[in-house]
Amino acid sequence: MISDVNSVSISEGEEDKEDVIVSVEGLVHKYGDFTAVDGVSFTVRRGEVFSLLGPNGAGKTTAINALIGLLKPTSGEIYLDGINVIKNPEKVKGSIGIVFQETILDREMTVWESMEFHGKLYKIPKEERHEKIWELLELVELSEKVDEITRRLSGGMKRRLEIARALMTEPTILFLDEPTLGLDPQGRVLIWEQIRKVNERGTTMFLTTHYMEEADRLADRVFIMDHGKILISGTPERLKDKLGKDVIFLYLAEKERAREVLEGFDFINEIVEFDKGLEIVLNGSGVPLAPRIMETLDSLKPKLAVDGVNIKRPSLDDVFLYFTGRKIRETDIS
Amino acid sequence: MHGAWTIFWREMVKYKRRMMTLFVTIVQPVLWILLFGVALGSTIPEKEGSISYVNFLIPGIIGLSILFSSLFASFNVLLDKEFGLTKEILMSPTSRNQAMVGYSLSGLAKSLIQAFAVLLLGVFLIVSGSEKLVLFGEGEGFFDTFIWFLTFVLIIVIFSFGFLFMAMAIAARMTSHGALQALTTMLTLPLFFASEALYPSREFPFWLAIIAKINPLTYCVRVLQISLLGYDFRYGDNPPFHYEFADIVTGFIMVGLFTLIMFYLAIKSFQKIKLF
Repeated sequence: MISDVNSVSISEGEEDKEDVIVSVEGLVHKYGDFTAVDGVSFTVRRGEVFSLLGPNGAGKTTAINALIGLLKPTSGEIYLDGINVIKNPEKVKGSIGIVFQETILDREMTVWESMEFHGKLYKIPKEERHEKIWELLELVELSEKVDEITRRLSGGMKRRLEIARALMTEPTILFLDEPTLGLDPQGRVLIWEQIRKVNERGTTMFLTTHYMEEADRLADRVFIMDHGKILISGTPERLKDKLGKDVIFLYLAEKERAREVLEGFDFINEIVEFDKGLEIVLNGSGVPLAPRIMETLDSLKPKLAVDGVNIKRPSLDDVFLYFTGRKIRETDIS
Repeated sequence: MHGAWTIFWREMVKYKRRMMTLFVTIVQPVLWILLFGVALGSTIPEKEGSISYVNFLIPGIIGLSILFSSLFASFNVLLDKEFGLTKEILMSPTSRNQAMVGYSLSGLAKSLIQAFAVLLLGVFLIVSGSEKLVLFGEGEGFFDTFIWFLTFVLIIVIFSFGFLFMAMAIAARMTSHGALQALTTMLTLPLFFASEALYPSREFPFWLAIIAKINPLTYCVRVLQISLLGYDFRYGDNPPFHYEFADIVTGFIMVGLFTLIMFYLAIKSFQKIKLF
């Protein structure tokens, strides 16, 4: 593990002040002795999909609650659309939409009534409100479920309804706290589609997740958070490039003989044994290098038989592992 | 008040959908009148110039229904807290005070529906038993009847708000259904029995009389009795009741005071609701 990579930002040049919608500076929040958020600073750009990625208990929800003015942080500064959130938490209510981690729907109301209730709470005039309800239900593909009691919706439909509801007030930024938690794969993909669609309409998206794939697919920029700190940030591609190493899995029986031959190559960083063969960590792309390895093994006498080859690009999982020294805590997920 | 009416609207939408709930909440007072009123009434000999026990019982059971339905409004708030709906409401421009008033208004509507359901049922029972019915100062002319009717509605509104605000104050601070259930039962039984809802309080032992004296239900039932039965009435061969205008004034003052205190507590408690 390299220690000097802590809190690296793979930046893409200076931030244009005009483009910043959220800026957070030195955010700290303590629950008694426990420090949930420990000196976090970041900016969210207008129009992007921003993702806070980290395991459960990393401090993501605490950060969101502070950003939307639900929680007064121990210290730090938060500006949202030019509003000082800590001083004027009431003022941000109008410009944000939130989809909380837990499902917040009245189980006894219909889809339409849930939307209507929200619109009324925000004092949207009747005609405009009804127009918007139809438009948004259309967007999240729930217009055929208007009269369904929310209790009877699937998990994914409930989430989509919550997204539509949060959009009623035309927020400049939409906060989504673990939007696909507990959904099946199809439901998850549908939510991803909705998030992209909403983003294309111009809404900035602030997303927390502990699913690597989700951050990888959706986010323009990913901030990896663990133990209340941001460890690294950048676009998913740049983060993976930073690791820069493809791994080749060679499935073969004669591990020792293969290892002796391959140790000579300078494009190989490390060779690790696993039960069915060797894991070869390269310092470059695996695409041109794999055939070279195969040729070498093939030309040996006696011939060294390879049962299979697999090239793996580093994933965000690997990025996470690299910077935290451990896998994301899947066991913690409830 | 926009926010309060929104909460009211939502509660009413659900109330309409759950006609079963309305049925269940009416069943309880119905059973009181049918079982308790008719059973105990049968042991009370009829007397010339007396009203039937069931007739006497109507104001008391109305008071009881309102007490129950008002206190039970706390469960709606607790459910909203549990399912996170309070978060949705309080993150919106709707203030906590408005939310509290909205819940209470919907509770009031339910109380009024119940009160009139009980009244109708009582009237039906008495009339179908071809007994003499005394209602809203009977025989004093339309204007007087109208005034008594207003008095009847007004005391229900103030009294119901009192216990609705109490329910709001309790629900805002509670997190467990079991505890809320226990507390509600613990409150309703003594309030009910240490009042004049079922019997006169003049023979109460000292300690019970003290409770009855500070019990808002006592005053509410008294005003209900006067507005329905008049200043002078008696049932069976019990000594007659005699009230005066001053009793109505005292009734309103006591119930009003109670409601004001509860309003203050409800507002304070709602400010303390934690959102996560």
